[in-house]
Amino acid sequence: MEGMTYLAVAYLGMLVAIALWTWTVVQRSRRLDQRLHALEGVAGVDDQPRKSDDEAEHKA
Amino acid sequence: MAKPLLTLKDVHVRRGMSVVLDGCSVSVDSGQTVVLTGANGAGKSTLLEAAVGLLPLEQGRVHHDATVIIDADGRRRTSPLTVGTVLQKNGMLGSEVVIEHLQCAMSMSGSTVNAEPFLEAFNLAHRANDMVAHLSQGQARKVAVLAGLLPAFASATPALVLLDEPDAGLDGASVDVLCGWLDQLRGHGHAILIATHDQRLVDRATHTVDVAEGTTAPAHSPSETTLSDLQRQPTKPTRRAAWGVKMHLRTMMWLNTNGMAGLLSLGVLLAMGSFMDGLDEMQQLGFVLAPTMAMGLCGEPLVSALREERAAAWWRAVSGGEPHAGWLPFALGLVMTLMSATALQGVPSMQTLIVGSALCGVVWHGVGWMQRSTQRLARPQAVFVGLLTPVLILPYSLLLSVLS
Amino acid sequence: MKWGEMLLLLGFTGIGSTLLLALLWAPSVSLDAFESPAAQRIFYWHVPAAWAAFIAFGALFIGSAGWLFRRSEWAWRLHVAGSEAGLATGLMTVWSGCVWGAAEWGTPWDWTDVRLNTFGLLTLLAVYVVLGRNSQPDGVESRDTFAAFGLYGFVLVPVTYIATRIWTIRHPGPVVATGDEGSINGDMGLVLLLGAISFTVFIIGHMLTSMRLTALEQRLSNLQGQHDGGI
Repeated sequence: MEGMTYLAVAYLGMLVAIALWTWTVVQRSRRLDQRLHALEGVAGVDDQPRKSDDEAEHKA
Repeated sequence: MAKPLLTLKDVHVRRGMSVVLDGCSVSVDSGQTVVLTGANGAGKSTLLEAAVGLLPLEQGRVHHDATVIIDADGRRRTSPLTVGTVLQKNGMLGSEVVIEHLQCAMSMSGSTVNAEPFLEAFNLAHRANDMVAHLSQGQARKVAVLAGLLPAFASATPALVLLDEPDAGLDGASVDVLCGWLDQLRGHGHAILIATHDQRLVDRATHTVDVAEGTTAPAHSPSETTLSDLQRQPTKPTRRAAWGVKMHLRTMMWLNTNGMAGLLSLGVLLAMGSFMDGLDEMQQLGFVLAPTMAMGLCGEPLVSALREERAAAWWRAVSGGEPHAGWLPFALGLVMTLMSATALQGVPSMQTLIVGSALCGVVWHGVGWMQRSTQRLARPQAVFVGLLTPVLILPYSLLLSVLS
Repeated sequence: MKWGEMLLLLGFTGIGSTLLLALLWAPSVSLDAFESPAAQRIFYWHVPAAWAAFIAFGALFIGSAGWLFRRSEWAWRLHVAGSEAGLATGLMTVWSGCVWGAAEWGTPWDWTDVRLNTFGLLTLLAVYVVLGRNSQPDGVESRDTFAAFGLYGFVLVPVTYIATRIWTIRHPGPVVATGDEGSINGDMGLVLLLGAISFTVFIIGHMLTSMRLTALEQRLSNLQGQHDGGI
């Protein structure tokens, strides 16, 4: 049983770690969305993501 | 007929996220002085650095004489010409002696001339044997300018001289002297490319190039002057390894990093008392070589030293590569292994000494290569190159396994 | 909810289920074959995580090559996503390996095991690329440098693969795709398959989210640049 406890603790620890990692990524995404909306609001830029961003950056 | 010594064809260069040169084509012929004009940020320095092969090209190629020295596919060749370069930074270490630096720059042309009259003209003769670190900013700039011009004066064949704002920090009289030298070099058939805002230097131009517009215009023809008789002494180009060893020995930079790492590792092992008796042969060898390995893992201290005043970039421009410690790590590895083996085990075998020497040399230069791989970055010191060094631990354990 | 986030949720649920099944349902291995049969169950995490890591490092390689040779913005985003996912899955694999090794071998790390060490190096390379990139302003210089390391890192993948087969000292050989019959029990294989699918979905979700994040960061940076310039 000792071995199974060891395993359960290891599993739980790893699950918590990837949950935290995922949570930080999702939070980063939300924050970026908010900052972008705020900036676009100030600049009066269209809210839709532009498909031509790549080309525009490339030519910049 | 004058032949082009420098040709940039359809050169595109990106810096950061912006395209700085967008299809730039410039040619500088033998006997021409081309001045790059344009506002700050127009790309003058970028063009100059691209012309000496310091920047990777997105498109296009750069020729020195008929040889392509760099192209967009990443092919590089050493310039067949003598190249004198003055970058925006001075390109020299504070530990270099003025006359040594000038001799070293001139040696790249295969001959030297007496630098004393040039130092006198710049009011630097009394400083010839001083270290660069002891000079004022203006004096150091004068030495950097001389290091850009003297290779052309020493060269018997047409040379390429590239000067990035050579007037920065120079007093009025020195700029006049510089103008005279530029006329002499042009009269002797050398090709000169200058980025500057100083009107006196612009007046020396046979052609001007507006970098932002990409247009070339002929300027008036400055008066011809001939090069005064110079006694050229043939010499061998300074080898990067020889220069690197000299700087290591002068500054003792190896002791501060590599040497201390090795000595501290040995000290820690000695503090553990006599523990070697109970170990097998592989483990004993592992402990004996550990201080030597630690010394190598610190890498090449010259890499960070050469970031001072962009000295590494100057070396790449004039010689196609960077100085390194050469044979020194092998010698230090031998000494450290001797010390470590004697302290931990007794008299070492010749095989152990040779392995220690090779181990330190290979690891030192290997880590040095890793350190140099970050040289293009805006903040190379912010990158953790140490994270890559464990790649050397596996070969180390395999080496121990094979040897024992 | 975005596509990437949906896959993340799905993958995470799958991973949770895999671990639950591994703990409560998967058959136990023979006591003779392993020192610590209970800890052996860690391979339901370890093997799928290694599989996901190879997907991530594959993405890092494709992204790095795409940036270096095609100058593709999309490829750069893939490089960023691949390195971050490679770092996370690499750490998961190495960490779970250490936990297993501590129970099975009595030591969490063995410097003489080639596969273990090359995988550790691959993970360290991902740490180097992620931390290094975050320390630099975005630009062609930093992209070229780290993309070159991304390519270099991929050389370690076949080395690791070959090491798995020919240079095993302590590390157990591969348990799937060996061509041997009955290399693993059917129920064990089922749980392992569920784990592999879940990790694949999870890591693809992460990479999609990461690529979207990089695109958003570039858009934000462009907008800020325009705003600084006084649009």
